Amino acid sequence: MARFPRPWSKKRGKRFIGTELRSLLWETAFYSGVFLTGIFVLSLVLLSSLASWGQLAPLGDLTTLPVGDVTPEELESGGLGIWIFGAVGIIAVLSGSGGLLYRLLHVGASSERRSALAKRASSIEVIVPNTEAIERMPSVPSGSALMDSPGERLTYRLAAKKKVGGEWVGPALLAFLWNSVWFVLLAVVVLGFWYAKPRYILAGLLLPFGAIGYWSFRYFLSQLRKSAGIGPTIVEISDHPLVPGRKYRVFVSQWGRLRLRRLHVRAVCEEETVYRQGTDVRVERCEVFTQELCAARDVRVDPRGPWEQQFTVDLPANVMHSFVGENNAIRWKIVVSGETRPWPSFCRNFPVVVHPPGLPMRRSPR
Amino acid sequence: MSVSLCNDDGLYEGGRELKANWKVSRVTLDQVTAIELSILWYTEGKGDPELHVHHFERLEEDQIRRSGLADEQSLNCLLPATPLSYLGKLIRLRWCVRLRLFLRNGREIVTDQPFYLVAPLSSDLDRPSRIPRFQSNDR
Repeated sequence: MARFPRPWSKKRGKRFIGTELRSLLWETAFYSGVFLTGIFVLSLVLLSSLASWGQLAPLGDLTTLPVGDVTPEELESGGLGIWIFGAVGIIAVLSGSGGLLYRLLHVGASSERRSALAKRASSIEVIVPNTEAIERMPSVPSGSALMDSPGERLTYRLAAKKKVGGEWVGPALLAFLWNSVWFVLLAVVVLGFWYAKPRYILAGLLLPFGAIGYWSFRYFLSQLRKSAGIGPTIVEISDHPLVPGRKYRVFVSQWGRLRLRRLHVRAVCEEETVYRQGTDVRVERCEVFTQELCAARDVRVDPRGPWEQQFTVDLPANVMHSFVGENNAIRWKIVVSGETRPWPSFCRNFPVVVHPPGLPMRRSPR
Repeated sequence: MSVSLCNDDGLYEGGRELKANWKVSRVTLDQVTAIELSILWYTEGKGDPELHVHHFERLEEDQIRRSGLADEQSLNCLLPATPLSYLGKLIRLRWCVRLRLFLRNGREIVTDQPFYLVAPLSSDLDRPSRIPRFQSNDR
């Protein structure tokens, strides 16, 4: 028997709750809209006020509105209206930007991880030799910063070289700056029409500028989608620093929602040189040792079932230790790279330190 | 000028002592103003060169007159653990004992005696394999 839909009754049948990624994109679009609307309202209020304040006449000229004599009656008589619109604009800008920041900072990191990162931020050591290590092993990084993070499966969890998930920051800045300016110009045009002083050239320019703003916002959303879709990569290692001639277990876990055409995990030694060519300073890198740990095809990664594997790194006895000089460096790292669908390829580096053999080790982060 | 090392093969383990003998010949005492002895590593290759001195001695004219130039003199130094000698693709890291002679006429004469700093306790490797080098084969 057919049922009539009754909004007040309990819902029945299929429900679509949606994925976390989709909710992120919708929330981002919503807060962006609130932010840009706030910019527009605030611009309207400020431009109207500038036009009516004699002491700000030079700025009022920007709007080409006659200062003082064309102030609308509602603004002249009811100053309260301006204040209400101004307050609404400021609140919209603040709540939009606050909501955006809060939502975007959650991308790719759990709250526990953010808390742990904030706690450790002050004690992070850059991968260069410290003074204590110089005495013991000159020009070799101690790697102590890589050893203060215990892993879940193996002894140490390695930190990625570049912060994962920050690819959207540049596009976000571009999109919001450009669109904010666009809304300010829109407010100028609207006020021009309102006061019967239309600015046709500016109105015409709004179309191509709006197209650029649309493209920049779409690009920002696509970068955000990629960043949230690929998910974090976790690499853990059984011991650190590494020593040539020994074997180490490496655990790799890839999170996200994606299908990988290929997934590679490699142990790599890279030479890096800095040299001057004319007035330019150039950097050249060259992989001099590569050990393929994994070359998987057609890997499926699901938010509820990350891809996890454990491998063994077997370092030959006569490889070079890590070395950092002023212009030259020899760096070791675990590289996780993937060719993905529908996102573009990714490559994440997890630096490790290799010490020369025959020296006493310091170990255990616990 | 000649510098001779105590190990014939020029392999020294990090953290061990290096002994070398040096001698200046065919130069009279009056011609020499100073002699500098240093143990150092330097880089070669594509990057801008680097040079780090581990041990340095300078003999002034008075000291040279006291010790003379006729006899062979010795140099002892405790080597550091790192950086080890390395023959890479973009970077080559070399160690040497450098002797620099300053003459009264303003000229300088330099001679290098290279050696290899290798990792200790690598007895399972044959001696040439103890120098880390560029690995051309992927595993």
